[in-house]
Amino acid sequence: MPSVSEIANWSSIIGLFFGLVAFIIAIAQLERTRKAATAAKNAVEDFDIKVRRLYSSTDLARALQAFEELKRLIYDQNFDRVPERIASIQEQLIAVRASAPNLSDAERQILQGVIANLEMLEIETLKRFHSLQQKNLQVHSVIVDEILPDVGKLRQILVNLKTFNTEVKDGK
Amino acid sequence: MVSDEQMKEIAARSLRRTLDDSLEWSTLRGARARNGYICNFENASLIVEKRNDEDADIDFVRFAILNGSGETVGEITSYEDGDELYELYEKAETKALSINETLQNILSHL
Repeated sequence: MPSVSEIANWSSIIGLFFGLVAFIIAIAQLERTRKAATAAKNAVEDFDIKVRRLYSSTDLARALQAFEELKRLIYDQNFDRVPERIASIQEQLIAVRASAPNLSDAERQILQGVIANLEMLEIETLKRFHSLQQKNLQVHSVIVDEILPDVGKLRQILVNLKTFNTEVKDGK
Repeated sequence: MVSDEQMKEIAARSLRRTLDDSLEWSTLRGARARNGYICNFENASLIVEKRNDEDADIDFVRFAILNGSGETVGEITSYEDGDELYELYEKAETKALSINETLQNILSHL
């Protein structure tokens, strides 16, 4: 017959064993919870990125559309409305730069360049219109030609934003 | 607007970055195309250009800093009546130095 102390010893060992098992289970459970929390956080971040990309793509598409209107205003010699249109494009581009996720430095520099070019276009449009007209130059195409390279660069950024959208959607 | 001293410091810092990072300078558009360059950072632009003050009929070299909205927030002007910066720019133009070489010279005097 085992003595009382032996039984107590065995009980302690068995208790310790179950304690260890419970501890390991608790740790595993904690790890699962941590992973679930991280996955949830990543999902929220992914969603946030998708939403910001969507808004940025929309803003950029609107800015490009406004560029078309700007060209039309210039062709129609409706210069009074040019500053207003330029201001709205600049506003949209500033919003894109502030909210688009993962824009590269080069893309930010392109956006800044377009914003600065528009500012100078606004300042000089009327002055140049008169001086070019005196020289009998094709004023509209001269001004529009200056806008076109910027439109091309912005389209490329829009493509990049949309491509990333697809990649996120595809889970890549 | 930033003060003259601040502007010099900003211009020098910006110029140094354009040289250190080999940032690209573009010629200005439109009527100012042949007379100036612009370098765009992520949230600001630096313009270096030579212009004519039509009222006084005098040339000047202008450094301007544009903020993220494209507005001019500070500028340094140097007139043709013997200002050091103007002379440097003029000399570089005569020697047909590249914009980077020109700016390197200017930077040492800012």
